[in-house]
Amino acid sequence: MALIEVAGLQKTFEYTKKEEGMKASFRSLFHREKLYKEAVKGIDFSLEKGEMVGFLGPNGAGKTTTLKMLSGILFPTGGQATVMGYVPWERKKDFKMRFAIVMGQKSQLWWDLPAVESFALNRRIYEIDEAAYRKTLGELTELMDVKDLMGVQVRRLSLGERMKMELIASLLHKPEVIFLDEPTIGLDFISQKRIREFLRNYNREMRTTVLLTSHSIGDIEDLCRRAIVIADGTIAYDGELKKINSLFGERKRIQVTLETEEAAQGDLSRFGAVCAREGLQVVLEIPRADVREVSQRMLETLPVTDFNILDIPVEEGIARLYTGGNGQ
Amino acid sequence: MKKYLYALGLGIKETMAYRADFWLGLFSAVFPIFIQIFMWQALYGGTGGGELFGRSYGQMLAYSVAAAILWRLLKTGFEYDINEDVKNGGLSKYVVRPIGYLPYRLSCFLGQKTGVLAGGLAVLALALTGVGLNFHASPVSARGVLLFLPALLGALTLNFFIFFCVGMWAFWLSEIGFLFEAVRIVIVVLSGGIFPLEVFGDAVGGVLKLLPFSYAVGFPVDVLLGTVTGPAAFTGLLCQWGWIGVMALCCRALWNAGAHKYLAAGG
Repeated sequence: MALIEVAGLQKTFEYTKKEEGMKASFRSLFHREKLYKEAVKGIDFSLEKGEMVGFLGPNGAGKTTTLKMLSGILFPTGGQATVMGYVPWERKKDFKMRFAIVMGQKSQLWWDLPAVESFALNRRIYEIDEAAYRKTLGELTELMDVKDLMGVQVRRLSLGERMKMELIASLLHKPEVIFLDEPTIGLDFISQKRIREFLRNYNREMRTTVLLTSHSIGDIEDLCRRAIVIADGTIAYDGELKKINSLFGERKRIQVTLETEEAAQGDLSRFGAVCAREGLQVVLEIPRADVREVSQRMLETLPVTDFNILDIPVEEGIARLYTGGNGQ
Repeated sequence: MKKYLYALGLGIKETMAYRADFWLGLFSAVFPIFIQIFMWQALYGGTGGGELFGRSYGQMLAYSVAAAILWRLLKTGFEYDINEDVKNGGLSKYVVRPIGYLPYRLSCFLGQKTGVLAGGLAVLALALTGVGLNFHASPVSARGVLLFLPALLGALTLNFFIFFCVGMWAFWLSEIGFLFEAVRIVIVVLSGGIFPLEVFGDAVGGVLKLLPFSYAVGFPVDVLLGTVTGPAAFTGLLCQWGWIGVMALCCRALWNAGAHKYLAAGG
């Protein structure tokens, strides 16, 4: 049986319409129009133990709502889910002892206390024994390079420093399942890289199951072989990340640099669809099957100084999924 | 259990950090107490040294002073934190962890009050000594003090549960900052935090004594001043803990219902 199973999961939010203006405000005292937003529209997927899966989607697609249901923070409107055999929203203590959620945009540390106090409180909450706690904390602070910041009030930490503390706080009890909601948001390049490296090693060593949302395609490409793409509350793709583009047909790109501007600006449609043109450089998109023939023709008939055959970037495939294209 | 003891410790640390706030709060009791002294002076002036609402002038002053100080000692503030947690999604961090939100808040509250009570009870003793010297009779007996201690613990706990219930409204209402203040003012009057409930007359006062609020301020003050003694005091203690049980059940019901309303905003 899969470690995480989601079947027909739905969440509808109820809200009241608020119109602009004084008159509308006054009217709303007596009557409010109720509206419903279907944030998650019956999704299905499953994760095996030790998998690290990217959960992608545009803003408002339902990613965070799904993670919140899987952590038991929100109750679903319909459908089912189990995580390690527990129904998350039953909020059983045993379940809470075995998983963690990290939200990049919502701190789970105690804002007025130094991080070390939050960790100490977490130690009691998760009933971790002193020796194991010291050992894990030592390792984690070493890895994250935050030993000197332990005594600083959390509100005084930079975003990147705080994020590292958030990760430490959520890993102290060695969770078997981790939900990461934008763990690298707002971080500089070096911190992003460090956190990625850390997550990759942690996943490998502990066989932790990780579901990760991120708008940074680098995070996902670096860490996840599999991606689930959610758009408008439904699953648009679930499979190998590298194969996302195959949804849109087997295509390749040819990037050429030509000797003269005249050649570069000329009509090249006889070779394939031009998708970018800048100075002497032109990028064409063609069916994979034609690569050999088109390349030969181009090299023979054009004043080529540089020539590259490229894959279509994964983010373009994802972007098409976001906007509702299914590539069929 | 250790986690709640730790939270209690956090509460104590917090009081230390915000001690100025506590002393200013206590100081703010001085002004209303003076108003009451003048008011009662005027009212008792017409009685020629007699009693009003079953109390002598000295007893009435002792009640007013003790109630004003006690109300400030018991004062909550965590309902604003609950509101904040519910509105901004801060509640999530408690929901996903193996810790109960209510016991966590209760531990923090008791921790904060441990620090406050140490200072506050000293002030209460001084104030009542002052009243006693003025009237050449101590308003407090040793037995009163002995009974007051459990009544105080009960009052503290009861007040916590009452305001936790009030805080739970945050799940349903979006702008409730003002409401908390309004509710607090009503509750301070209903609990006898300003003057004894007898002032409202036999009928209304009698009904008010049936509500839980009087057990939060009026009852412990009456026990301290010896107005309620013997079996009545023990019955009162039982009623107080009975109300604590009832309010705890209300908290639980509101929490369970509210959990489905929680939107976990942000993030």
